[in-house]
Amino acid sequence: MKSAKPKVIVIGGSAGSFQVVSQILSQLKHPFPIPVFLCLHRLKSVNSGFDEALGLNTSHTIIEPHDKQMIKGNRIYLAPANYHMLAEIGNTITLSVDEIYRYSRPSIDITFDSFSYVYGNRMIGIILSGANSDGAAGLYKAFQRGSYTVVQDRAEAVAKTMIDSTLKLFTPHMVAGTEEIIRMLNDL
Amino acid sequence: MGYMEQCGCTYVKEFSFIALKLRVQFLMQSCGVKDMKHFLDLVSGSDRFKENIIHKLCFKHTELFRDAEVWHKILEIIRQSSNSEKITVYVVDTPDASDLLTLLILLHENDLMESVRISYLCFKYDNVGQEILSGIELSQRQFIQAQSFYTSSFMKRNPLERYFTFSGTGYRLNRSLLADVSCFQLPVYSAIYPEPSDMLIARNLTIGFNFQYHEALFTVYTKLVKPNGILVFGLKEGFSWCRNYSLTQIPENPAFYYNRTL
Repeated sequence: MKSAKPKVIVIGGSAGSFQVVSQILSQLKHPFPIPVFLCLHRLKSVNSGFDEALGLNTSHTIIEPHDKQMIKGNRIYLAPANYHMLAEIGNTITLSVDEIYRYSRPSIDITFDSFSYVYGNRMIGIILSGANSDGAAGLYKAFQRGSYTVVQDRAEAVAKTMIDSTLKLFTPHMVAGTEEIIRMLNDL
Repeated sequence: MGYMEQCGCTYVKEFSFIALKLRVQFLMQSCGVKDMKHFLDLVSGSDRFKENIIHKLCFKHTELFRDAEVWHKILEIIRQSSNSEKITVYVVDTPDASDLLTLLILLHENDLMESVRISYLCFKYDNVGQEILSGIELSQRQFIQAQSFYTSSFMKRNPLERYFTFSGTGYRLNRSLLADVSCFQLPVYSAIYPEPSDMLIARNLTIGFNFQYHEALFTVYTKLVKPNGILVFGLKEGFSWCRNYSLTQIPENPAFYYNRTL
């Protein structure tokens, strides 16, 4: 990967992405100074337990951010259930209760769009397995803004709709399996 | 704070940058606007479209029963507190009144209406609350969503047909649900406060606003609650300065705070 040093990493996924994210977090080097944002589709009626489940196999700190919380390194930020997660100029996280977008809140499109707007070519956006198209348009916007874009190899994805929708829109910088994605992150 | 109106365009002016962008994005999509030229043609050519735009920009969609565990806790507190006299509950809301309606439906369904006195606190005028409430209509999609959320979270037969009537285009709220609700102006323009309440519900209201307004709103909220009364905020609003106001978070209930101000 040849571009400006990234300030944020944003990962979006839905059905079938939990295991992949768990694997990435378990093998991510420690400390990892770049903040990582996870926007994963989850049940809107279940507000707790998801971050604990993700944290079982990793020593990284996983946080569900509050509205207007400052972004810091060495943190994994998980989009809270039933809130959109956005970045704001000034290095803060904004949560929103705006309408459900593409049947989702948090919406991956909104997160990619917002973070790439703020960080542009200092963002890495990664799309994983998912059973709907949310995230594809957002990652395309990020691509147009100069962000480095990564799509999980469809051969190993449990649900392929999110990946196929993304690949229909543009050719990302990298299409890779989980191990390769982990290597890329650890090389940053 | 003087120019922060909940019910007009100046309210939107104070939205945080991202919140405003998101709102405009949704607005364009929901109005079928293709691009800026299309938007300008529509705005200049149709008063109805203009009204529609302003309405959609200022008013959020109603979403009933959001965050079921919070409502379970609110009902539990009301049950425990309502042994002798009625407890007062203030609901501060965006003009779609989704939290107020959720509370009213749940109180009716749990035979708790006799235990509470409810007021709806609006930003603008005393009478605006009733006007807004009487005009509420859910789309079919919103109605189905609310039905499924109710049955999945409260495990009873769906009661929504009792409170809404199908109008041909959507589901209109039955006025009878609002019979016992009084409306006040939220005292952000004047220092005239209604009697402090036992519980104030102000969920996810500050979330759209820039940071500098949070503390100002918070000051108003704390004055509206009795000592040892309860304030209910959004699950992820996260008021880091709440200790300055002698608020204590109720353990394992991140949205609930006791007002310890004496």
